[in-house]
Amino acid sequence: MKAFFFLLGATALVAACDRRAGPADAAARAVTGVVEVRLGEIAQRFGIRVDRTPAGFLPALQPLTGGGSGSVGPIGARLAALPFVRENDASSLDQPIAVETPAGTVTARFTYRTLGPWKVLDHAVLSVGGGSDADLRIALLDPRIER
Amino acid sequence: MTTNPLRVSWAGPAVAGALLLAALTPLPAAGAPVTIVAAGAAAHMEVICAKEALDYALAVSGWINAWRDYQNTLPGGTQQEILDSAARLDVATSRVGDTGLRLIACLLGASGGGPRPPA
Repeated sequence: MKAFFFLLGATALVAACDRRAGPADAAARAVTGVVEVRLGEIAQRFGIRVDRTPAGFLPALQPLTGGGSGSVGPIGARLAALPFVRENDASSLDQPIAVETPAGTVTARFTYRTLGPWKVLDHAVLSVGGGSDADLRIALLDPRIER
Repeated sequence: MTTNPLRVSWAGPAVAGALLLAALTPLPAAGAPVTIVAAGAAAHMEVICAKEALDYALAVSGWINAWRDYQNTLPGGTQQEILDSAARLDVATSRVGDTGLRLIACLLGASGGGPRPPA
């Protein structure tokens, strides 16, 4: 009898901790928002849409500032390679990563936050030598789920 | 062989010891940078991202110099001098963006967060 209650309790605990996507989350198809790349006082913004496909998350960017040609340029092309959206069970990157180089220690900080069934990149910051006005900051502003 | 594992003589001390060890294990300080020199995947990450990190650090150094040069040229510089320093700052800015995004892609890709390749 005791074993039965133990099993019942364990089952209830597992069910309570199960954070898989529910029916409402399953309808999520994409994440949209604005990506801002900032270096000191210089900033460039792109509109972004990341679609969930059977092959994974596929980002598409369009420039919002710095020219109306429609091309995202080399920076936009590099941005498209970044994982702005990840599965919710992806590994955590809460702690800063420091890489020693002959030109100083480069520190990277990544912050993801939960949005619907996924994690989205809130911001990424690169610093050299403890941080300064020359930090490179990537931020995903106003992310929204598209259903 | 139906011994209840929770009733063997060593179960109590073992559980107490595990709880004590867990309580005594120091937690990493919040915000403390993690240097990538540890074993396993972390050490691998350092190796594959070291070039990207160095490229980025050198690009930032160049950008700081270009920014100072631009700021110094503005008051009293000729139009051509200002245009030239602005062009150098533009090139340095692009280099920081390019190398920085390459480093981020490397670090996130190395930590298993990279985008999946198309099927």
